[in-house]
Amino acid sequence: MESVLLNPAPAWTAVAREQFRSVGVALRREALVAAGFFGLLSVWIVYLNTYGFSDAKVPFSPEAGVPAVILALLVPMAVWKGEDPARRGYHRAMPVNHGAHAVMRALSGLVWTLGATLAYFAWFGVASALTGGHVDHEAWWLWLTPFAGVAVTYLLGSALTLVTAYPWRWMGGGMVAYLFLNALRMADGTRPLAELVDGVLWGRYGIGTVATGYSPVDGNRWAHHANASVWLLSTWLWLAVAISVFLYASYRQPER
Amino acid sequence: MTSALPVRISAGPFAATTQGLAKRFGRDFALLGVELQVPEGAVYVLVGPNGAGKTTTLKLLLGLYAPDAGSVRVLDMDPRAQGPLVRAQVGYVPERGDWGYGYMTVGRLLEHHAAYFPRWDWQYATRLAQAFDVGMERRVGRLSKGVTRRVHLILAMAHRPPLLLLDEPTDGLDPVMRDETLGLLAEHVADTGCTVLISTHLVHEVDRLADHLGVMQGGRLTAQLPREVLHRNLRRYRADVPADWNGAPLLNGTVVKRGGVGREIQWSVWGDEREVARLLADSGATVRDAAPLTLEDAAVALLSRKD
Repeated sequence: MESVLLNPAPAWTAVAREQFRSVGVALRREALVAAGFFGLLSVWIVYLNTYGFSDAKVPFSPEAGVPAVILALLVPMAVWKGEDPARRGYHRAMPVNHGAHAVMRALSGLVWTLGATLAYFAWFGVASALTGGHVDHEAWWLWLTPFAGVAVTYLLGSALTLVTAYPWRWMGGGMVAYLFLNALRMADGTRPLAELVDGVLWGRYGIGTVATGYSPVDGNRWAHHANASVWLLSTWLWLAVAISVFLYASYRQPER
Repeated sequence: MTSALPVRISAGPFAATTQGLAKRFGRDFALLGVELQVPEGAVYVLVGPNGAGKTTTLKLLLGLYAPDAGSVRVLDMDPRAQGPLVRAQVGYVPERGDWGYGYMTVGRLLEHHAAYFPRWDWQYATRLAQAFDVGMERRVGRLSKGVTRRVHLILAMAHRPPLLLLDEPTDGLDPVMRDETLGLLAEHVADTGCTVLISTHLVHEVDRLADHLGVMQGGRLTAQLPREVLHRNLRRYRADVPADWNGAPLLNGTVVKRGGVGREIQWSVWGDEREVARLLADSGATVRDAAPLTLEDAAVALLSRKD
């Protein structure tokens, strides 16, 4: 086809930059809702402190990151809003390798999510300083744990969003199944399964350890202590699993 | 009579071809043995009922689906192996209206799209937006079906691609805007010399553009031919027949559509006009006239073919 002058494919830097910007636009509404929530919370805290409720002090601790870790599981659905990856939509019709393109969009979302987590902690820091709240001076590495947890749950959520057209159903179904399993945990048949799931979530190398840095002491799920080496190992394990699942989902999106 | 409906186009070169193309979803075949040939510079209209496999064919040309059998070539490239480069050459208007990001404004969506096409022509995009009466500040998700279609056409045309794949491009457009759109499309084709593959089941809407016709039914391409060949060889014969007329067995296999009232028959027959007229006369019919069909009538006749 010598007579046709071919158009060049875009440079990957241009695509990555545009993905970062467009994901920012996609997340704008959620960011505004979060900003509104924290704005109202700030007003409430100022009000309490102004009118003499001296106990209204905001603590500053890495454990405050747990809600961010849970929310990060849902963020990919906002990142891929307007796209049903399995339907071969707009995103896939662009002149970029499908897998690499999906990775770029998801990683753009991860950067925004980690940025939002940082802003979340910044708010806690400022609120804590202004209200004279308790500042946690435990090991410095504990401040990294929420970010590791956010990265893991975000990547797992991305994988789910990429492989199914109904991530809400799968997530909701999983949660219902977990609650149901816990409700039945004393029944002989379900106890081993419930303990296995608990081990994956809250065991020594569970996602709970990744998100908080605290792991159970000698198998006692109610007693925890901070252990850097256990956290590091569990973080590597979970990141390896999350990255593998995410890459598999990015490069093997189903046809429908 | 030996003239079966043509399924191969002799004149190349081709902008898009498929060979023995098959695609299956679950147990059902969406396409089976499709041999598409879209000549370079042509406006090829692919017609067929809903579910015929037109959209799947377009998605295979774009490399959005992997074929289960057969091969696809677009501008001499394999969309599976060179998908990004193929998609860089294609302006695509999808069948679905919710394509693109509904949370963006039109201007932002165009900006997003432009980042993927280094040859994006902003001046042309702005001119198209003005001609289509599309406001840049409007949110894509709140546009009507017709306006969304126009936005899709801007996205497809503004980087002046060598190949346009348009899936039901006039769907949702009012008659005035449809006319305007087809005028702009004709102008675009004349300016760029690009190839256009239009999938539709509303042939009359794209009649003035089409120079090739492909007919799809049940996942198979049952006919494809240049318009002038269609015009020359598919005619509607009006003839008077005697009361005891037994039909024209020698025309079996070439009658695309049979109709008529009383002793007057109106048959759409594929073949050389003089030979068809002779065979009708030999059967006892008196041929009154033989007229070429409009593109839409031809498409309807080919789609309702029983022989």
